Amino acid sequence: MGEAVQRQAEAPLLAVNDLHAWYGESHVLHGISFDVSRGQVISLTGRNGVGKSTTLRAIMGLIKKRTGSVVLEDAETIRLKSRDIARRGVGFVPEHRGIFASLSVHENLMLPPVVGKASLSRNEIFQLFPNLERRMSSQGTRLSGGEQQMLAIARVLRAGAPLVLLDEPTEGLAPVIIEQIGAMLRKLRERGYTIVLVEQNVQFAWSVTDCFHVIEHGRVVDSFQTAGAAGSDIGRLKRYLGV
Amino acid sequence: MGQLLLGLLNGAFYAMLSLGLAVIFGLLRVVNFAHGAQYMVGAFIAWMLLEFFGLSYWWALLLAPVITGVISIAIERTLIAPLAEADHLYGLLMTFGIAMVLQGGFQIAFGSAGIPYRVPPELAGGLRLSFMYLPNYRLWVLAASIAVCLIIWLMIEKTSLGAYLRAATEDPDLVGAFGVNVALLITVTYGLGAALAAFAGVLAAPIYAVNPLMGVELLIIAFAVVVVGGMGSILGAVVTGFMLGVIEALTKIFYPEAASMVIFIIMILVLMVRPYGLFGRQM
Repeated sequence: MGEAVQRQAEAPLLAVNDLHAWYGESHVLHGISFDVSRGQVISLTGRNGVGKSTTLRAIMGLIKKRTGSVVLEDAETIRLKSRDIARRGVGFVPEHRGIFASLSVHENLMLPPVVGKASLSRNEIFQLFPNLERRMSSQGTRLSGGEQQMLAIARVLRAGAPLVLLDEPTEGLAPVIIEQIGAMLRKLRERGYTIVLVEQNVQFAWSVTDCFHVIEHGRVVDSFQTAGAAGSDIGRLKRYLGV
Repeated sequence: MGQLLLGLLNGAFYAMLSLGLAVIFGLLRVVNFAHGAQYMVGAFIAWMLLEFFGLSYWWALLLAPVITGVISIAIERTLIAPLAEADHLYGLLMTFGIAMVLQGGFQIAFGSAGIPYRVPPELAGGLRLSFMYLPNYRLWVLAASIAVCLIIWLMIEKTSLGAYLRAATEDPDLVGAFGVNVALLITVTYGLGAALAAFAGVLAAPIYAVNPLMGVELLIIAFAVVVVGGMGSILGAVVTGFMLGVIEALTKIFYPEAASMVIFIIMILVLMVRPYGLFGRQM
C-alpha cells in the first residue's frame, strides 16, 4: 500500500514516449520522449522547424496522424480527441496566442469550459494580470501583443488546467513585457502549476525552467537540469541554438 | 411607398434564409444547397399538419421548424459530418444531392402544382393605407422575421453559445483544444439553420403556394445576399437581405426589366470591388 502511494507520488504528471507525428506525408516528429513531474517547469528548445510546436500540438491531440505514447496522470491519451485531452486538465496556449477577433476580452477569457479544480477566479486573474481588468470590453485582438499573451495564459488558468502547454510566449514582445511574463510564470510555478514551455529565448527560459530538452530533427538530443548547471551547460545550449 | 413595403417583405425572406446560410457556412465552411429544400419542407410540414392533423398555422409555426431541425440534424450526422475532413466541395455536392432528392421526392408525392395554404383567420383582412392596401398577414410576416433575425443576432452576439459559435467559426481546432465539443456545436448549428429556413417556409406558405420547387429561386437569391453581405457574416446577411429586397422592389418601379437581375448585378460589382463582401472580414 505504502509502496503504491509512493509510486503515485513519484509518477510523472506527463510522460511522452516515442512520439511520432506526421503532417500529411511529412514525418515531423521521430520519437520524442520526456517526462514532466508535477509542479515542474520544463522547456523544449531548439532551432526553428525542429518540431517543438508540433510536439505540443501532438500532445494536445491537434495532429491527426501520431503514434507513440502520451500518458497523462497514468492514463494513455494518444487516441483521445483534443477536447477530451483538454478535459483531463491540459491548457493549451498556442503560438500566436489564438485570441479570437470576434470575441471581446471578457468572452475570450470565459470561453474555455472549466476543466480542473485549479480554476482561478476573476479576482485572482486580475491580481496576476492587472492590465486585463480595464480592457474586458475591448475586442480581443485590439490588445497589445503582450496583453494578448497574458489573456491567452489567463484563459487557460481560469479554466483550471493544472498542466499548461505554452508555445513561444515571448515571441515578438518587448523586453519589458518579457520580464513581466517571466515574473508571472515564476508565480505560477510557486502556485504548483506544471508547465511545458516551448521557447527559443534561452535567457528568458533559464529564469523559469527546471529542465531543458533540446530538440533536433524531431527528437530530443540533449537534456539537462538548470539547478546546479555549469557555465559549460549554458554554452552547450547556446551552441544548439546557434546563438 | 407600396413597393418599398413589398421590397421589405421580400427582403424579410431573403434575410431569414441568408441568415441560416451564413451561420451554417461560417461554422461548417459548407455552402448548404439543401437550405431551399429545408424551407420548402417547412412549408409542406405546415400544410400536412393542417391537412392530416388539423393543427393550425400557429402550431405549424412551432412544430415545422422543430421537425425540420430534427430531420436536418439526422442528415448532418449521417451524411454531412462524415465529409468534414474532406474538401468542402464534397459537402457542397452532398447538400446539393440532398436538395435534389428532397425536391424530387416531394414532386413525386405531391406534384409540381402549388397547394394553397390559407391565411390564419386571426390575420385575415388588412390595412387600407392612402398609398396601398396592406394585408395584415404581410405585416405580421415582416414583424415576425425582424423579430426572429433580432433574436438570432442576440443569441449569437450575447450568449455563451454564440461566443462558442463565433470562436469556432474562426478556429474550430483551438476551440476543440479548450474542451468544447465542436462536432456537437456544428450539428446543433446546422439544425438551427435548417429550423430557421423551415420557419421562413411556414411564413411563406400562405403567401406563395406550397410547392416542391418554392425554395429553388429563393435559394439562389439568398446565396447572392450571403456573398454581398460577406460569407459567414450574420449582420451582413440580415442587413443585405432587407437592403436587396428594397433595391429589387424599387427597380421594379424605375426599370422593371432589370428587376430580376439587379441583385446579381450588385453581387458581381461587390465581388469585383470588395470580394469578402460588405460586412465580411478579409480572410
